[in-house]
Amino acid sequence: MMDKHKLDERQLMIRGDIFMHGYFIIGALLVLYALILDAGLFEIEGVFSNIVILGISGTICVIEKIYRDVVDTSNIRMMILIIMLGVIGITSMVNGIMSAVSNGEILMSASMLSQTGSIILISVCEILIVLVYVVKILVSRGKVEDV
Amino acid sequence: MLDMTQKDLADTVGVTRQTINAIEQGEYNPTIKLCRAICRKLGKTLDELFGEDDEI
Repeated sequence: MMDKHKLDERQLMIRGDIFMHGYFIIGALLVLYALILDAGLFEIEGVFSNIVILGISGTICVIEKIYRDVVDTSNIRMMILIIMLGVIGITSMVNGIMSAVSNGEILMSASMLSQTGSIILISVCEILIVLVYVVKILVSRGKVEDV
Repeated sequence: MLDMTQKDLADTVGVTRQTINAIEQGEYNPTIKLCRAICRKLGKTLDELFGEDDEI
């Protein structure tokens, strides 16, 4: 019998592809951001630039994993993890918006993304992962085909 | 037609249902090890299950 927590041969192959995509996305985003920064077009405030780049590339990788069936949607531990991610994402987004409104902070201007804006952007990524996971569960539900 | 679902076969040979589906659709080429496990479970030979349709 198959160990429920282990990936099979096809999933391992796909996971390798996804990690490679993630590696290239991080590289491309770092180069792009360096060029944008050098040209003085746009800036992410504080240390959040690297976190935003990691967040975006990580989100793309996780979404690709869910889409290509590398994540076991029936695994309870995975479900708990996704629920926690959703709760953290919604909480940090609400917190960020409330903080920005109460302090009159501008989240994003033509040339800068603030720290609170970065936090909200990362929380959007987290919520996006949860949404893709839910859609995947709904789409794959009841797919039982004869051999 | 066998009285078996993709999930049943997948559980027996140790892969996911999606992998069995991908093999059936021709989207994934399984390893010989997996081919042999599927053949053993279905009571078929490698040639019967994975052989060429057209004889040369």
